[in-house]
Amino acid sequence: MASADTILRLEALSKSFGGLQAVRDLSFDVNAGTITSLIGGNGAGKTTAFNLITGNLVPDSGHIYLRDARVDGLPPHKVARAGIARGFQELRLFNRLSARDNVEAAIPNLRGESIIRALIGGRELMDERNAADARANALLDDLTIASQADSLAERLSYGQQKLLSLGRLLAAEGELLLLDEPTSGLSPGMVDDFCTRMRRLTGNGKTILLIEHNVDIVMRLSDWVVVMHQGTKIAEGRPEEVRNNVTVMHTYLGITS
Amino acid sequence: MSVLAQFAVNGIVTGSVYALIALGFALIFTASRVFHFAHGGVYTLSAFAGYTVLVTLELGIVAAFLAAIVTAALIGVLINMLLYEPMKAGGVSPFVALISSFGVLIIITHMTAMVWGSNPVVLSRGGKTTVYRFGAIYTTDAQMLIIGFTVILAVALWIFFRHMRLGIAIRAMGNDSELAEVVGMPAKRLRNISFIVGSGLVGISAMLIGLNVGIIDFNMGNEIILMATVAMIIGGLGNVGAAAGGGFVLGMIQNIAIWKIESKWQMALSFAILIIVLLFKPNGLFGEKRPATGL
Amino acid sequence: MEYFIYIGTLIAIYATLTISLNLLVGYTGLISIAQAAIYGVGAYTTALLALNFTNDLLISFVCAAVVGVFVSLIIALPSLRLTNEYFLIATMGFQAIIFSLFMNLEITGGASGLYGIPHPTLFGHTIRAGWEKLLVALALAVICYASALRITNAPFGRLLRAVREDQTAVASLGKSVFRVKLAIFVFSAVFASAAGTIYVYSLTALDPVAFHLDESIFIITLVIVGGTGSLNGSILAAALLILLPETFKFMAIPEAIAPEVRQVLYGALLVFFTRFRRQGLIGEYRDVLK
Repeated sequence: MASADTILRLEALSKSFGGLQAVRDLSFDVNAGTITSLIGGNGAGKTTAFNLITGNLVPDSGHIYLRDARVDGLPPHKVARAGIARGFQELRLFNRLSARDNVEAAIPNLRGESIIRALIGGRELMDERNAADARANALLDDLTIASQADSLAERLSYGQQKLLSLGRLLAAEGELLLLDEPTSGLSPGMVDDFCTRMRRLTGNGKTILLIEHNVDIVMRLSDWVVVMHQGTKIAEGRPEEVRNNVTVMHTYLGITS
Repeated sequence: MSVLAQFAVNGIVTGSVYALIALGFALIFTASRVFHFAHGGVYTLSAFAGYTVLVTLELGIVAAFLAAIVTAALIGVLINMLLYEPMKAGGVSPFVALISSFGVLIIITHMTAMVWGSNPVVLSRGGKTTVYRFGAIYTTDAQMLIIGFTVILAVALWIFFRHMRLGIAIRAMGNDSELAEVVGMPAKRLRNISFIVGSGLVGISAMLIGLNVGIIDFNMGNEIILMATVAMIIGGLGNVGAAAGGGFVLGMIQNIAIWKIESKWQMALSFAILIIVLLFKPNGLFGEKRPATGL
Repeated sequence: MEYFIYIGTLIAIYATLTISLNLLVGYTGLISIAQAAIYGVGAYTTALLALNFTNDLLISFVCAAVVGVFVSLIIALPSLRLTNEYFLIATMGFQAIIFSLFMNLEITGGASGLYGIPHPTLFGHTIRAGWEKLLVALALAVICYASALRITNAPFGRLLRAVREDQTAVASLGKSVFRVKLAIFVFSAVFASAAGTIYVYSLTALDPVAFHLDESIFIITLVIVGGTGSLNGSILAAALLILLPETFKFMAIPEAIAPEVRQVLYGALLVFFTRFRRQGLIGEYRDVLK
């Protein structure tokens, strides 16, 4: 069974669309406090695996455990509430909301998000609002985009949008973060910044499951690497083990580098 | 038993009517992804164009059909060129075009009432209606014409979409504009062709149905376009043959239901079927199953 | 004078309906065309109540709202499983079914509707004068505006906009999109049905045509002309579009075709605003309607 520090366990997950087997018999564990990278070429099934974990897709067979609780079959918002926060490759920011509202929209358990409480109003809601503002401002400040707090998300530069999506993710307070290519399209300086941030997050008790195309980042950052090819896992291990794995070199690294 | 058979025949006639409208509606939807509710207005207007030529000007039945077809095709393609195409070019989704098309429907409907009045008028080519009798089942020449024309049209469109380059291109375009460019024809022109053909068809339908019923009024397109919507969705979206099938199913259900349910509940019954299909069989009864996408 | 009071009452009713629909269309991205049906449910509830039991205004409001909410749940629970065009068409289906019930049931008076409805009473006082009814209509519009303003400025309102922008992202943050949509749909129904109460008492009669699909499309037109996501715009549009056809009386438009001219004008406005000015007269964003 799951060892004490396993936070996420995938057991024999399969998913097909029509005739296409997108994920086949996929199993792996993610240990708490680590960075685990999911790598593989285009169409390897990485994003499908993410969608299965977050409940955006329901697996044809297999199970997913967060700690000891089964989360497969739960709708996305319940999976998120169980503690999995997901970032999207295409960001999916709330474009015509301010940067601050993007972050505050992610804060869990706000009483003002109930329509009845919103109608009644009162001091409590004011206090809650101030606390939420403070929380959002602190996050934006840490992400160096505090000056953009009142700008619409769509007005931010791409790099700022990436930072904002990370801020929104962190405000959701999940313990397991799923990041889909967080560094793609960023300048080398920003990539370094992101790597530092991710490292710091695991230091603060978060666990990260990462989809990443850049092999250098994977090798530098990961504690554990899972390699997918055509929907199945073909290898997993420490970065240096995976790098030296012959199969992986042929099917994946050999092609990309 | 013969009563039921008569209901079934009536169902086939009604079903053909719905199928006729749904064919053009679905052709346009397939090409442009727009729920072109203004199609109902085009239907109304072409019937009145035919009426003017046949009854007011007394130019004969052939000229009347031509007038209806030309009017319909022209109005249809103009709506696309002046409204939907610029919206598409501006990156506006077909969803907004749908809302816009309600506006066009309202304009056409009430302009028709302004020109031809809001009372029904008689559309007749003179002469007697021939009634055919098969055992205990009765049908008229206009009804036979509708059924025959629908069947021919459905088969022709099926061949067009499955086996002809232009048809395959239009079908492909519904899913992806770039695919259509592969056959070497600009997507825009393909859409215009679809509006011309789809609207021309509704011109013919308007005349056939108008002659069958015997009267036309400015509101005639409003109910029929709702029924065409129901037909298209219960048949299966984005598939012309399925829309025709949906039309037949709807017509049959409505007429067989008369056996047990008063006819005034037909509209409610049709929409109840629509909602059930939307919920439990979103691809329709005859629609192709589309592969699920990740997100 | 009575005439201007009547127009004022009409504007207040449509302002209420438009604000309530704007919460769905402009804030949440839910294009519902069942608003006239819910408005009608409120109207029929009020009329039947007044004819058979009581014409107390407050009881009428409460009963209209309760039945309106019940019907809105019947509409919303299945329809909210669908998105975009499919949601719109499902609500159109319910609109048609409910209208058909109005037209064909015995109790609703069929195509001739209901008439001879008594004037309402409030705390024992009978509200008979036009200006008193105008005050009631304005009070409802003000309450509707104020509460809409309150919820849209609260975190709940932010959640509505977030749902409009990206449902998948909202769900990924642990918030139930369905619950948010259901809450606003029901809230909207409370005011739409209360508007029905005002309609019935201001006319002391009820005509089913007022709750047809065309009426739903007219309310959508008001939302779009005013500006999706703009409460002030909704009020402005209701005032302008009700007043505009009244100016026909001072123009050389024959009375016989005046209703048709009005419809053509409304249709043209819908086309113009969806084509050229999607932010509406004073809307916030151009592309709430994406």
